[in-house]
Amino acid sequence: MADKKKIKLGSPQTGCSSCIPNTFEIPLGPQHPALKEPTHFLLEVEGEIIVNATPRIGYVHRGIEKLAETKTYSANLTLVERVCGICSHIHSISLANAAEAALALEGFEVPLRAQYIRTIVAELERIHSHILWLGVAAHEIGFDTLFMLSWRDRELTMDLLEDISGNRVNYAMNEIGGSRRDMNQSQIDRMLKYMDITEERMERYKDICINENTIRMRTQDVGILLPQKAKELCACGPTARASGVAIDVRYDDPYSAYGEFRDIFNVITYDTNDVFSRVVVRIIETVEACKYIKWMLKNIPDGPIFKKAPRKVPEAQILSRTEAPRGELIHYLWSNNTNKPYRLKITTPTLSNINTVPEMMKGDYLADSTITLASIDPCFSCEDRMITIVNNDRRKPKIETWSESQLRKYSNDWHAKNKRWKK
Amino acid sequence: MSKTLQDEQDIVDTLKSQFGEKILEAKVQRERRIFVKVANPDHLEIFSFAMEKWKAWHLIAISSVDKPDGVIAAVYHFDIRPPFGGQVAISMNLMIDCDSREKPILASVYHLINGAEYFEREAHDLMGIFFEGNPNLIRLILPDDFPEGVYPLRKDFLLEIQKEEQAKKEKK
Amino acid sequence: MVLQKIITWARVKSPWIIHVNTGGCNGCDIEVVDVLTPRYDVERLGILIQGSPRHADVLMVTGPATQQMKDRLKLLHEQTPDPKFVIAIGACACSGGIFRHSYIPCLGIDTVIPVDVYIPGCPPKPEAIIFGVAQLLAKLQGKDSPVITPKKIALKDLKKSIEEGLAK
Repeated sequence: MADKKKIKLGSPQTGCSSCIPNTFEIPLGPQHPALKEPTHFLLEVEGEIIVNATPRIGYVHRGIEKLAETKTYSANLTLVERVCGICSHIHSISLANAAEAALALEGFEVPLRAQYIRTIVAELERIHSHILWLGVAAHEIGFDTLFMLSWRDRELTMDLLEDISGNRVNYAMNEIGGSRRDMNQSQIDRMLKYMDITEERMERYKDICINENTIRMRTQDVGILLPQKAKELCACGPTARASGVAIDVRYDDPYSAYGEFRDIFNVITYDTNDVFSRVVVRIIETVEACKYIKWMLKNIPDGPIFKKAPRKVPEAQILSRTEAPRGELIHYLWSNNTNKPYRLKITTPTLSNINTVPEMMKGDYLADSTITLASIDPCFSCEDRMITIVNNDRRKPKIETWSESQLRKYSNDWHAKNKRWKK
Repeated sequence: MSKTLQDEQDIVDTLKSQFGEKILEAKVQRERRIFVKVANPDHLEIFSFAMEKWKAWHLIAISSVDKPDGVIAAVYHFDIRPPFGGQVAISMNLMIDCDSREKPILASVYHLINGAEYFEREAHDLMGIFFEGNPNLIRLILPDDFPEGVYPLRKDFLLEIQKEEQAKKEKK
Repeated sequence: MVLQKIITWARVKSPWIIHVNTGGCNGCDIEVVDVLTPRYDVERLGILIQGSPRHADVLMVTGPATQQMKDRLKLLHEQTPDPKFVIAIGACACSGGIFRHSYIPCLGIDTVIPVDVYIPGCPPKPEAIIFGVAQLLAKLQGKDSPVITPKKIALKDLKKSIEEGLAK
């Protein structure tokens, strides 16, 4: 909000103070009401059309990768959970998988029941994250009823997570070598019951989102990302799948218990490439996640949940890929036969996806910028970086001097030509 | 899923026969992971070859490492076989060593894959690798008032607690 | 004096808050938003979230105040009209938490602005956040802060109640 009020007037090229330049720059952020996290966008607008967007990130940089080198592996599980509060569990799965893969070179094996418990919690996390996103997206387009309703239904999932792990946000379920907590029969029954309710509610939201005009008018043909561009810009997760690119690490490169039900796994894609497409993909993914959880609960094997792992991890370079709710998450671990990692590199999905935002925003209305940004489900605490994008295609601004009357005429002509709001 | 690692071995063999001496090291690390090491500008050729032959468009990430022997290296991770039609993906770790520690220079893959820009800038900011050919290689994550030429992820940059630990060890 | 009373009454009945993230991990932020949604619904208590610091009375700050957000946090604190109150939510905001030893100084927000109420926890539960706000309101009125004495429960009853809860 602090920087938002400044609108730069007068163009340096002309030196003429009485005329208005072709484009304006509107800073958005870092503190602003639309998103809960600090980020800064410099939007260059021509009238109401965004011609260029320059994200400036890095407000959340805390130096986690360096800190990880000073801690032991089980302390690091606690640290990487704090990379992001929404997708906390998947970070700890990723690190645990990496360390266990290094240990597996010496014949270490994780009990299957622990893998199932991890995967169930990961899918529960996906459900809560996607419903959270649905609420935030509804809030961005001014549909607060859906925001309140979806967050009410999210509480069911939060209850289940609290029931299993004892905590609402950072679950601390993983340990190198297995899971910390077991599930008993009454918990499983309760989960099956709640999953039925959640699935029913999500079917209802699917109907709402597909049929409700409020949502359709704000999301269709907004923030278009063509499949070719998505591939070029290395998009991943729901953002890529909403552009019709079928990549999903859970299917492509199964980890934990995902290999067990690969034959019933569906990679959800949708092909309208806009914000609406991302809404649909996320809602259907939530429904699918309910199905996978039910399958896993019915087929969960008996046995131990934890096997004591040696504290020293043998020397190896492990690439651990997992699918966070937002996309593909990478932990690249170098171990050096001590109890601390030599190097831990974390690459989060928002870094891959944030470079698609300027591409989506170009040529859209200023009012749509927040929903476009929200549509990739950004998570800046994961990502903490800064990016500058140079405008090179779509709508190239020409530098010329316009008087106010010319500008008004241009505006009138433009609105006569583009009757989008009248439909 | 087969545990025979045949697909992985095939890819390694193809790369070896195609590039010969240029490949310094190539091996199957474990299931679905391949490790290849090349010298500086050769990784561009491997990229264009993989993109043509296996349609390897998906660059996952770029990691930067300060290795124990004091050499700074970058590791490109990418899917060598995009899994359409039920196959599993095989990811390749492509490691390139830099020559000097003062100014490590690598050739950028920006003109092959536009999405690499941000990964490279991150590596530049935190590890100090200069990517030739990247159009805006400027400060990315760190705050603007962070000192120039200090790269926090290098091993010679020590946190306060690491210094304390070292002092304790020396006392003993 | 009377006017002062009326002002205090008005403030206590309807504290407007603004939520600021200074580089935290999101965990506290979703719990803050959770407090506003139907399960906990603090709007019934007159607490309203605001977009602009100029309309707010209470700054709810999460995150460890990273180097880049420090100046912005100061600016936001200056923009909030007097009298203003600050609540630090979560372990990071209280002390820097797990990020304290990093190369980016993350030492908690009380190194930047004065803080009235600390709510520890990683992240604090929504109930804890509501309790923290209640403490602030008591402070405004000049009362002693409310104290919750923990109840003693026999373990047998607890097990029973849990089983009943699960059976629902």
